Amino acid sequence: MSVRSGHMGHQIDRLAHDITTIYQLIKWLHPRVRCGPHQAAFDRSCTNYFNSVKKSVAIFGVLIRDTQPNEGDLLARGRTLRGELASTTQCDLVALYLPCWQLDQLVPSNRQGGDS
Amino acid sequence: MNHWLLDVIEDRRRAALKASDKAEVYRELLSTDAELNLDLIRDMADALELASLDLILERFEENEDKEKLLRFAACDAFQLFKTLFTSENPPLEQGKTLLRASCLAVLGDRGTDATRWLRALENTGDWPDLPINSENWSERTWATLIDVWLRLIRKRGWIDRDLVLERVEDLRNSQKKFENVYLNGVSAQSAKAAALELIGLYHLAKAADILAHFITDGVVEGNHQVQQLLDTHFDRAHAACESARLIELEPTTRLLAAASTELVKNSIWTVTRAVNSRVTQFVQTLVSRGRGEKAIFDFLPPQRRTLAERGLLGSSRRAVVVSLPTSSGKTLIAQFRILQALNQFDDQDNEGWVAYLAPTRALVNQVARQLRRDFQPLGVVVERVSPALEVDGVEMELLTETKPDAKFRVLSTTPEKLDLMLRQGWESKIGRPLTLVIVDEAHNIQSPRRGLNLELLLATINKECEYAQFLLLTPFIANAGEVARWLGGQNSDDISLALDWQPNARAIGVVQAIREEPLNKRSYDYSLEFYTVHTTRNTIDLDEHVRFSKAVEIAKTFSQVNKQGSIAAVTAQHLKSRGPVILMHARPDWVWSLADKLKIARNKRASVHADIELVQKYLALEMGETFPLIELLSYGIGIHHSGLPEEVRILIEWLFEASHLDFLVTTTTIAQGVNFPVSGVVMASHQYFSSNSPPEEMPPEDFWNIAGRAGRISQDQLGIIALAADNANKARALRTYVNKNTGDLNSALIQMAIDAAADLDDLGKIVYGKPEWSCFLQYLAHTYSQMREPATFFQQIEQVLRGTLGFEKLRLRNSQIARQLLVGIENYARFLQEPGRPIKLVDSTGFSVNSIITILSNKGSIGQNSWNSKTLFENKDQTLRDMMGVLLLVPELRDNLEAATGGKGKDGNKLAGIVKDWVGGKSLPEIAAIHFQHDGDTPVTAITRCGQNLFGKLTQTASWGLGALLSITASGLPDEEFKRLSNLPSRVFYGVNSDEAITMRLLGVPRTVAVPLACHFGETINQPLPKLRENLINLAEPDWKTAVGENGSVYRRVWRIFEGVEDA
Repeated sequence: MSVRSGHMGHQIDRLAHDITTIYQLIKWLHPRVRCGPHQAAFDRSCTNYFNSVKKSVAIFGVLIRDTQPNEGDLLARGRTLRGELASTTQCDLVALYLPCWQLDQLVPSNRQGGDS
Repeated sequence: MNHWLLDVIEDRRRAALKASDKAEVYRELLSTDAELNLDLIRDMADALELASLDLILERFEENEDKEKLLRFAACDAFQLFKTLFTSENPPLEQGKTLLRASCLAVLGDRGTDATRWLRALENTGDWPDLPINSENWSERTWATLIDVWLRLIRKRGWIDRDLVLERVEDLRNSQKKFENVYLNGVSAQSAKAAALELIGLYHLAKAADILAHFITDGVVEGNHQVQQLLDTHFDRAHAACESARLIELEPTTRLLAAASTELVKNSIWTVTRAVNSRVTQFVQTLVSRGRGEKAIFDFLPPQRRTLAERGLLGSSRRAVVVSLPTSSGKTLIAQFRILQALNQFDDQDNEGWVAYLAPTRALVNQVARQLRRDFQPLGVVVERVSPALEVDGVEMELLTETKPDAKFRVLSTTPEKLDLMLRQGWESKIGRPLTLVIVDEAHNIQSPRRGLNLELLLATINKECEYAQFLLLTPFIANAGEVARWLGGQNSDDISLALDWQPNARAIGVVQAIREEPLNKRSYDYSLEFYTVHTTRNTIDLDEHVRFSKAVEIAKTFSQVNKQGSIAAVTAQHLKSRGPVILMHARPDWVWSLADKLKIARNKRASVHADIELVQKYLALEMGETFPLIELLSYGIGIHHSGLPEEVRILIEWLFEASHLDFLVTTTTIAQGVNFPVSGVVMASHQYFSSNSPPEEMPPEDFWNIAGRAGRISQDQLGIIALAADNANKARALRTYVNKNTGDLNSALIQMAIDAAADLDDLGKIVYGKPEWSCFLQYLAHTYSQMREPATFFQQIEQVLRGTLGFEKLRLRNSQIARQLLVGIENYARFLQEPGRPIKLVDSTGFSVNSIITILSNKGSIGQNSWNSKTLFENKDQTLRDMMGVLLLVPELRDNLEAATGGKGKDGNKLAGIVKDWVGGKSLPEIAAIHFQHDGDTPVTAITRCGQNLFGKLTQTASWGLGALLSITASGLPDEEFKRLSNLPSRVFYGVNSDEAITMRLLGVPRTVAVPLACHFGETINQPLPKLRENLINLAEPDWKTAVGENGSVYRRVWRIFEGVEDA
């Protein structure tokens, strides 16, 4: 899975329904958080995860658009996921609207320090 | 040690493993899938994998507890992934699962399980069809990577190794053609990640290439430190993963890196590096291409721990006890130790030799065959001497051979024979020092019948052989350290790996018949239930019963089946579908009837394999056309018990090992000597039965020895051990029996002294009622003689006794008995000191002084002139009868000789008659008909009785007795004359009537053709044994026919089987 592949709906769907991918992410994250400030949280999360039939998961979806805000962007996706995900899985969807930005300039701009 | 994740999943982990066990039992025993909570198994597999990844994060950290935690977590993860594996997923997914599971197996010390699993998948057609020729370069690279690493773990001889190199080369060659096309097709956003993923995969492929070279060559591009080379590539692969955040390849890389470190550690090259040139040469032969799939590239974990981590190869310890589970590869460990010992004493003029002691004749032969085959390329001559308790002329030649390419360096024999040899001064006659004594199945030290003999032999060697070192091989004993210290003092070591490693999974259980619905007014239907027994050995224990199918051809009704034999037969019939089964019963006659139960139409072979046909022909020639085993073989049933000639037993074992037989029906005594794998063991009895003592339970060591063989390791099979019970009490007793633990290894002396308590005062007399004391009295006499018969001998007795394993313990446990024993020994010492005691004859005869006195006072006219090789075995000559009459008075021989004639008193005439017919060349059926046929007996009953007596009792006892009698009555003869006459007792042992034929028999030639074959060789028979063996190997079929007649080809082939010579 790559950082910018596909649209958010696709990525969220994968994470919500493909436990293999979640587990891959955990394995990938594991060496990065071991012995760091997030170790305790990681350990707790893993413990919950494996003792919950892999249901104790919180999925965060962040949508970034260079348009005016539109509630409809998340509404349909949120409704679908609410119907599909059972407790104790949680899903938080966040949208960031940047109407003054061209999205494809965002990354190069950030790389330069974000001052242009 | 605590672990953040393992601690919180403990209960669910146990439940998942239990479910996995259940799945395995259902699959193996019922060929069905059990209903399982797959989510639980999947969760725990992943959790254990994550825990394993966590524990390998700090790869340079050394922490034994952490390593253990990792080993168990990875091992359990492997088991669960194995349960989850399905060939229904896409091939690449299957491959990835297999690779993860196999890497975890390697980390969990279960690399051999993974090897077997992967091999079994290929055999069953379930090996994933990986897209190694895909047009999609990424897919192709992944597939190749998975394929080569799986092959490195599977290690199907050189084939897999060659394929690894070939496929990596293919990848390299195809790169130009496919890589650009692939990268050009990837979106700009993903191109960098895709390219980095390829770079990672290339490095992992290169690492596989390096490892493939290393496992066969021990060196890569001139570098013996292969780990550094590998690390370079793993680090680069890892860097690529980090840059591109490759969430799938990165954990895979970490698993592969850790697994490859273990693979290198387990490599035979790593463990044996820089020990000595002979060891290196041996390793070269073990890995050589010529061995095909049998090439050995790495050690089993117990071998690695013994040789490398516990330092046996570099050890200067004088006594080491290696206590490992059955099937841990103890023989290979011994082989390396032998080479090290030979290297230590390798001066041209003073080349040391090694004694390899095995408890039975069959094991002695087996060990000799294997060592000879493995050491021949190194120029190390391996010989065996017969268990006959005298050294005949042929063996004298063998032992004193001095030609560099013919003198033996390793001698395989029984403890009793070596004892007699050393006491007769053979170490100095050989002229080279005994430098290492290997004792196989050393737990026999506590055997009531032969244990003390072995103990005292080791004590004698320790005292008298200046350079001797010891390696004792034993299955699980609790006090290995104590035993090692007994022989080596401070300079000793024990290496025990009893419980935390097993070659394969096993389930041990009891089978009972269950009464079902009525079939008619009198009979009931039945089923068989198998329920596992919890053991301390980490065997599979289910909460539910498993139902076996019934076999109406064997038993139609409940009352027919509910007998020990029938339950065992129906169980074996059920288990047969999984592979060869051993069925055990207590007595040879019960073995025959058990085998008969399995002679049902559906077991009859449509066609008989050529190897079976060969054995059938041999049986017809040796045992008669109507010998029932011939027909049984056509049903895939073999028989193995003490009533069969040794040659027949070897051939049956050979057929069974080659999977030509479905059933091996045998007496329980086989538990001491089996070292080939079987799919299942069914026990109709767990007792040893002997004609002259009450039945006794098979000792736990023997039970676990046979249990350890269950499960054909090469086929990744669950081992099943089923004990039949025809009632609830029996079932309860069996459950208790299975849980009897092997404990400390104790000297047999302790129990003997306790049993003899009241008689200990007069040890001289004790031997008449309790012949097992003879070896102890001989030890005292021998020591007395070695100390040059000091007047103060009894004052030094305690010091003498300290050389034994048992005395100190006896003193601690039962000081009263120990004191009584000391008093008895003091009395005996005074007895020895009386003038005219024939002490010197103790060592040359293997009898106690009292027995020798008995012979001297009863020998009558037997003297030097009685030993006439022309007339001794002639029918009209009475000398042999007189000799047998005297030997029947000797306590050490009496029981066996009396039993051999039916146990109805002393019948020297009958004994002499049997011996003459045996030496004269009469066939077994003839001897059986003449001497062992009782009214109402079938011929097979007579043959079985004949075999039991002839092979089990008479030949060895009579030849020993005659050898001793010769020493007593003819020791005044000139050396050359005495040496010539020494062959007479061996004629009785081998059943031939010429010295030349004895040579042939020592070379393993069947008795029937030993004489004609010896004639064929004529004068050339007088050449060194290794040379003669070589000539025999090269003797072509027409020559065999010329020598022994039209059946020459049958005899040639079976002799080659006996010798372990592959047909060209």
